[in-house]
Amino acid sequence: MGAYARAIVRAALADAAGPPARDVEDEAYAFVERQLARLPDVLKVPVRAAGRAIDALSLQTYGKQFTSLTLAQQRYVLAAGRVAKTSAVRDAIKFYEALAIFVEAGMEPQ
Amino acid sequence: MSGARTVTALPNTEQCVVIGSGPGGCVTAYHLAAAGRSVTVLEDGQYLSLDSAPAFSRAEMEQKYRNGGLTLAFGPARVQYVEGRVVGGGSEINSGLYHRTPPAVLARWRDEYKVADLDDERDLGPHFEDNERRLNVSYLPSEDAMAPIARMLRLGATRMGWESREVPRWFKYDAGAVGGGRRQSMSETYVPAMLEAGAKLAPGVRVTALERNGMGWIVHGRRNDAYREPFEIAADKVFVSAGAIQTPAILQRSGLKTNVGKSLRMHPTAKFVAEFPDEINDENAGVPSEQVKQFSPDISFGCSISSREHLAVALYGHRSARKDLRSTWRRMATYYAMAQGTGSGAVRVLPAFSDPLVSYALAKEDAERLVRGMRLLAELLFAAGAIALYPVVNGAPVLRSKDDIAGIESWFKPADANLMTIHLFSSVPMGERRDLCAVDSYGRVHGQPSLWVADGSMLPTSTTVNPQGSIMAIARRNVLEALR
Repeated sequence: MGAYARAIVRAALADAAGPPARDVEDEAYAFVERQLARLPDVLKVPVRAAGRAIDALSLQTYGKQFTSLTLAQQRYVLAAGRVAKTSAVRDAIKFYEALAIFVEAGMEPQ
Repeated sequence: MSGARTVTALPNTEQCVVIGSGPGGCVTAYHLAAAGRSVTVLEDGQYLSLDSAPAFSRAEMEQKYRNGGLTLAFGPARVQYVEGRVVGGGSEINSGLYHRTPPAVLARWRDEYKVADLDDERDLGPHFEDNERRLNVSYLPSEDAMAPIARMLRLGATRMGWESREVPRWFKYDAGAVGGGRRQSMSETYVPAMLEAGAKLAPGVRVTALERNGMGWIVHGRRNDAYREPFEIAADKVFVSAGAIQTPAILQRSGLKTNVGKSLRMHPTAKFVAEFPDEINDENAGVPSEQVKQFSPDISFGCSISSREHLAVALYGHRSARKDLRSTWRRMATYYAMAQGTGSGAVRVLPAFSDPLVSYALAKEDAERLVRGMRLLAELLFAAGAIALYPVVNGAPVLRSKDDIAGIESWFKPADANLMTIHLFSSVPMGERRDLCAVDSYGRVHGQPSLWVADGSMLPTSTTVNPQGSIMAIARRNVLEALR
């Protein structure tokens, strides 16, 4: 999941100006990886399957896997996925994005 | 943390084994040890101090929540829930709000579930009182110490003509500043008391199943370290106190399935993030102890965790508001509407999975209560002066005025409402009705010798209020009966 999770985290935290600060990305990615490892058994399969759904959306839109897209293309796929009809896609994106947002909000100066 | 009574070498035989060190387990172990019994407490999580991570922080989630807090009850409306996995259990990660069991709930347990010797609240009075003294259940030292987030809830309720009140909690308050003092928990109170009384505590061990051994039990498990070494303890008496999800899972793995894991109940909650014109939030806000009980037991309102991290996640569906959070979060707070919880769920052990599958069916009445609750909560928050309400609901619009409340039925669908709960119970209900109950009126598993349940799973129904006061009082009542 490593490259895949990092790509989603980076795209989730990016804005129009570019990718997030490296320390924020690293911290968020590390947290996502640890949380993936902690998932209950019964959630591991759905989360993996949902990850494939994001790839399917990437292939459908750009003909490439998510990790092979540019940052702008990845952001577009996530934006499309957030309002996708398939709940598995929405849930997968929300899973990664919510964890990344949680870390980012905690790292900014209070 | 470690201490003279924490053990790494597990005994081969033991008089009493308590599985789990949450509020039910700690009360049980303390009274067993104080009565001179030899007791070992087995805990899946680690022994950490209350200060090992800031309250409600990411570090706390990683250290003390089961599965890092990523636990979900499946169903048409999925409900996220959290469990503690640490010495002290849920008491280490919650806000310590405390209620005695309402008399109407006790009456229902007595009438519907035939729980014996629970004629009225006087039967539990001495148990409540003893726990309250040990836990330092108390109120804020003065009105001035009330957090601004709580003031807004009270202000809105007052302007609506509704009852709002402070809920006591486990806390040693300092006079003066908001947030001053020290939260209490099992690791602050009952854990040191039970160790002092002679109980032994073994953290980092997971019980997998029980096996009948004459009039006692063999406790099977493994250590959680890298070696995963299995262990067995032959115990005369076993008390299962692993919480409303893990307790039925252990019993099912042990072949004990009658009325086990089939009646899980919870208090589902839905939320708004409210934005006010002035600052109401800061780093010390915690979870204020104000609740609106005007519509209780059907619906209650209260304050949720409102740290910037939690606000950011709550605003997931409101991207523009989230982008401005750095400058606005001190004017924002999260408030909840909690339904009574008449729906029912199940805990099932699946082959080859170590974690149980949890499902929950939100009752139609609770879905209606949540819609009504969110409408009333919006009225209250606008009355308190909120300038915007952000529903924590997928696809929901921002409410800018009271006029926007009318459309709530069009966007509030339970399946999209990100429901969550921290109150789980009733998965191994107690009472004399064998068609409904898994354990008897004092927590002993029906038809089994020397095996008790002592945690929230034995509460027959929703308590309609924070359940820990009920769990601890019933646990004390039951263990004293077991000692007779």
